[in-house]
Amino acid sequence: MAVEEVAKVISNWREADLDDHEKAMLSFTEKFTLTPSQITDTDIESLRAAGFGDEQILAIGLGAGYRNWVDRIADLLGVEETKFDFPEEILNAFGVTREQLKASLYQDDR
Amino acid sequence: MSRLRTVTGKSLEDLLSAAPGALEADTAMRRLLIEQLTPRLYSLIGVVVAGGLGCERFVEALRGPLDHDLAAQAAGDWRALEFTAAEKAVLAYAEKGTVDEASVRKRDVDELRAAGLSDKEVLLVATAIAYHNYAIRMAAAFDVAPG
Repeated sequence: MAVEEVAKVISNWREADLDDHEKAMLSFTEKFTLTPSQITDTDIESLRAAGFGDEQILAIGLGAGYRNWVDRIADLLGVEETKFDFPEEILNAFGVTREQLKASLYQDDR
Repeated sequence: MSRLRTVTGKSLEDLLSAAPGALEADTAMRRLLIEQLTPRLYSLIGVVVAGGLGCERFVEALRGPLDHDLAAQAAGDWRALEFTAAEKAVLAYAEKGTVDEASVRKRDVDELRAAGLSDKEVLLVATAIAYHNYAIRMAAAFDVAPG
């Protein structure tokens, strides 16, 4: 995926050039992350309507759950991301500057 | 029955048993956290995370050795209850780490250290918070009880 496309997904995935299959998956993932208590049978049916089987739906949940787990540990412990040199488009999509990204929890005193 | 037709049970274990390797990894993580944090602290973190996610319906399944009323109140407003300084620091960290994790800063970890937690204990607490955030989301999404 091109950098511009990734930036679009981060900032507004609904307007990104994704197919219905991918948008159904991201809609579920967003709700799973932000308002899990509001997930209903209808959300699972929407995934089925988009063509996902039970095994794939469980895998989507596990994938979203894993990211919620790992990213939270990183936030809680101030793990610094040094592996990737994020392009400017990605930083803008997240609304952060390169300086902010470099300022780890254990280097700043905020 | 869960929301998946292929999973007939009503627990997170039943759900994860449908994904090869997932149940084993989950069980190992849960055991480690309970053993090293104590069942009480592990469960306290769980009910506060559940409250933060609006998933109070899971408190009974998460309360472990906690009294029923204490668990229910902790999910709603743990600050109104009597806890040790270390428990209060952990629960404040769990709450912030659930509802506004991007705002966690070094000073939040310093609060844990000031309450007597070692670096290893901070790591275990952070892992437990993250684990409950994963497990409760899975339970809510697929309508099963978290462990």
